[in-house]
Amino acid sequence: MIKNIAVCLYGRFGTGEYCSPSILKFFKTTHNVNVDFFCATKDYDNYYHTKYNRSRHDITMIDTEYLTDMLAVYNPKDMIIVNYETDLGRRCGNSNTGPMFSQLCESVMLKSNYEAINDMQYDVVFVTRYDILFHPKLSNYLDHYITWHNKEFINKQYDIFGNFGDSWMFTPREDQNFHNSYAIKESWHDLFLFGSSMTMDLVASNSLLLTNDQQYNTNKKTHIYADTNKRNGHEGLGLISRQSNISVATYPFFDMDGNATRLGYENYGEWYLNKDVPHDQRGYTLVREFGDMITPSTSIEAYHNNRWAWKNDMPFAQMPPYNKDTIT
Amino acid sequence: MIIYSNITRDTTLTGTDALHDIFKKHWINAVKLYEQHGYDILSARNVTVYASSNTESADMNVVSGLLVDYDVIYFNHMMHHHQHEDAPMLSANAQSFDNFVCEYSVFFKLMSNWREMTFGSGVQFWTVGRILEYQNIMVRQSDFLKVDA
Repeated sequence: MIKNIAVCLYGRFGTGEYCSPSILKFFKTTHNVNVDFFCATKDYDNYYHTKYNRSRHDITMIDTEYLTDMLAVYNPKDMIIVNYETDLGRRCGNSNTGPMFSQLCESVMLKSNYEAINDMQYDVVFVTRYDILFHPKLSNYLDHYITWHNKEFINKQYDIFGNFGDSWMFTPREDQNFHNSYAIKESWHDLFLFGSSMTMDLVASNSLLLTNDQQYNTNKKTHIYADTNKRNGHEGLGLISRQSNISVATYPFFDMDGNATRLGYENYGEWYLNKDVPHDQRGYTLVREFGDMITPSTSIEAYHNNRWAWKNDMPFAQMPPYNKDTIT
Repeated sequence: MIIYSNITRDTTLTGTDALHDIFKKHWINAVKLYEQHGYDILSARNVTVYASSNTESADMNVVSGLLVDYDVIYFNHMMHHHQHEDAPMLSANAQSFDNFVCEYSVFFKLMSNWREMTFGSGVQFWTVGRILEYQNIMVRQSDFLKVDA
């Protein structure tokens, strides 16, 4: 039975001020379940994936007092703000994998530390980012999930996932086909995932391993994977799930009565960004500063089709009070 | 750099319960060590953990010379210590984890598995070999314990 849920937020704060009501709404539940937040972030924004107006190497410093105030809306049990110099060391030049997995690891370790100190365990741990906007249709998703988990999943998880039944995680698959290689790469989305507390510890511990492999190991022959020295978050999660035998499945979906159904467009559709999926059938989306709610895996057409459809008050004019000193 | 995780094992427990006890106590230590040393030190893959139960009896000169690669764990003379058993690595033998050496991420990953072990069930499902295999951790052997230990 789910008694405690942890939500580990990680990564750049970005449009976190704009998105926090959506995140808080998503994690409200009518069940008698305790939901705790743990926040790891950094005191600057970068624009690595932004396609508009900014160089991918631009950064903007964020006032830590502002960040602390913004994170306070989550009433986090614990939080950490990594400074720019430290994060730059984790970047090691061109790598964007190091900062991402380091933030994920820091966030999960806050959760683990809280568990160890208080001698308790979270039944489900959600890991997501600050700049995520959930679809209003999903406002009762957590209620449905808790009901389904208590009623069915808790009894079936060892049937579904095998003898190591506590090693499970839900997140959509991300197909990778870089450089027309047609290599089979099992990859998972890193925007919004959830699983058992143990699974997230495994993800954190493998993050230590993975970022090290990406950052410090210059000898490709001794890489965990020899084919590339620059892996992204999706492939990184794929690697982690294989390293620790974590069973991964796409999210359970629920019909209007709360019954779990197969993944289908008829209910919530694909959760992740996909140019073929209409905007009103998406589960969540990224919100970037310039309204480019896209990731590299999504086409530019999707942006034009959906930038105004999701919200009419996109935060173009709601820029946080940044320190304007931009370091390039 | 070598860091230590020393626990007091409940010697009255056997089988899976004993493993659960060891793993959980080391897991708590692992979380504390993360708080103490931080991400940047522990991700550099040059941090060796010497984990022991009840007594620290390792020769640190030997431990510091071990090649602690990722996904590797060192036991001390595991077969010799348990030669009276049929298949020590395939049994739920807590003694195997009395002394071991590995890299920090391996240590934390392995000890996180305490949650899988149902305490008090009496089920001897959890075995040393199976846990290590499932986490893709390779086993090596070294004489890192002091001779008089």
